[in-house]
Amino acid sequence: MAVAVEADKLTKQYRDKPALQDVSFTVPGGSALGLVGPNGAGKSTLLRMLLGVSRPSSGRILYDGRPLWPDPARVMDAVGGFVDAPQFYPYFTARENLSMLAELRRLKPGRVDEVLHYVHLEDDAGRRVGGFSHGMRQRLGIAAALLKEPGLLILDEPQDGLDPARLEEMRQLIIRIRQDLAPTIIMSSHVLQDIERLCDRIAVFDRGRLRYCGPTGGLGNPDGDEVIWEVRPIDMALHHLRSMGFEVWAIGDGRIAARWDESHELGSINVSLISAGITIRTVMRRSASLESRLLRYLEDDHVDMR
Amino acid sequence: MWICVKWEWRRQTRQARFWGSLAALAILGVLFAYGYSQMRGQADIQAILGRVAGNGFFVPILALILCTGVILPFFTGVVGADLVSGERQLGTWNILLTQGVSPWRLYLGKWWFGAGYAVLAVLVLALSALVSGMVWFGMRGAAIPSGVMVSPAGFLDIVAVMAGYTAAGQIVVMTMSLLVSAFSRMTVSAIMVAVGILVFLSMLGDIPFLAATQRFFFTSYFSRVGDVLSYPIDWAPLLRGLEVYAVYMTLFWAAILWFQPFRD
Repeated sequence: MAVAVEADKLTKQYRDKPALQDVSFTVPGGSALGLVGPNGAGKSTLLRMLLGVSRPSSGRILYDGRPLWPDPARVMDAVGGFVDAPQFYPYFTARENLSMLAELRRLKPGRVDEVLHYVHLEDDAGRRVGGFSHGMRQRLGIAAALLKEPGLLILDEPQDGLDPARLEEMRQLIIRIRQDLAPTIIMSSHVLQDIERLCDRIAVFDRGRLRYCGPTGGLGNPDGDEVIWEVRPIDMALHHLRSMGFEVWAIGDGRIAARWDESHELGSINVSLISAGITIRTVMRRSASLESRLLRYLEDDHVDMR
Repeated sequence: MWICVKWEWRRQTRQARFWGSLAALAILGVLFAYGYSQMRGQADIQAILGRVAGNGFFVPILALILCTGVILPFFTGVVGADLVSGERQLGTWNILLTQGVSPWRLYLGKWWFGAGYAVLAVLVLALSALVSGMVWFGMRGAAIPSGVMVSPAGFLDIVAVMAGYTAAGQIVVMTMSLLVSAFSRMTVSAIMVAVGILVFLSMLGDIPFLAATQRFFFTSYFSRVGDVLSYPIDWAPLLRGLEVYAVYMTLFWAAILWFQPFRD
């Protein structure tokens, strides 16, 4: 049964450095929340606390109204997941690794083969994990998370480091888990298309603070168009377009994006940029992606919109 | 908790270093027999052990007396220091915690394994030395340095008590190393700290002004294993040593209960 999650004023302090500050959000049972934000934004810190690996400096986490801390082991019956890349004993086989976890949790022995079959590792169950590829370890991590038939599944960048084929396998696996088990899912990812595809809610983190938490469609304007320029120098182009009244922001790799509407005439804007000494390499018009909306959101330094 | 012990045992026995350490101790027992055979030609040692040279019972006795201070603590210290820090370094500690397994169960399981290893290490050394001594020199009754004549059965009693006392000391070493391990994220640093503490404590007697403090530390009671070499066995120094061990065990467990360093 899906578990509802409530985080209330969570703070994590490492010595004098805050890793997470005053984070509050709720995740309704059965929904999927995607955590996004730059490296070091606090996503993994939050997941470590949600999984009982790291103790919050203050604040509380409730699973179906039951506080996770101070004794996570008592509340984790319906919670599965991994944080950082899932690691296993390399000298044990996949089946032995899962059997150990199953025995420690006093689960029925047949459960191990069920989950190995579910993640398509049944043919490799007798192989030592030391010889597994990164993608197989990720799937084994999901299998370990599914051992308890979790009502809450917490995944830290499950697609991290996968090649395109394995990436698609992982997407399909997560979609299948949502369909078959309908757990609440909290996952972090840098692949924003996946967050858009797999999650119905999004939480945006930046420098240890939660900047937005709500429906994916609620971040920025999902219906607006934008124009992407690849230009040199970027600072001059940003300044120039802003002086012309555009809402414009940098999106990395030498590119800038501007919110667009039909009242503008793209040709004359480009002429104006070139006249100002700016080199335009490419121009592209498209619907605003989640990536672009997120970057604009972070650049705008919005206040918490919850 | 016994499930934790079972899997810890299985985990350790899958690693070559576990068998390597026991093999090294077994070889050490044989080397002691060889070294004992060479004592015959050394007048200064014969002056001390002149009455007992050439008796296989003295091989395990010498092995335990000479290994209790440095060699055995090194082995048990290294194994104990790796138990939690090794899991943290490998990343498997997180997987265990995310499964909702109580870290206390894991810690207790690791302690029982570590205590078992400490006993096993002492047994392997003592048995290897005993068998080597038996094969090399044979077993017979002899006079111990105090002048008392001891029968073969009496010698076996002495070896058993020495092994038990040595094992108790090694369990304290392992408990301390496990405590260090619980605070560490890297095996190397945990081993360095644990072994460093043991080396420092055993060197205290050689440091002016600090020598007098050595008697407050459990390591100085390891050598009381030599007091067993009397017949009938004089229990008083051994019991005093066991009391000190119990105090330190209590301190180490109190520290882990107080700090609970299992989660970040």
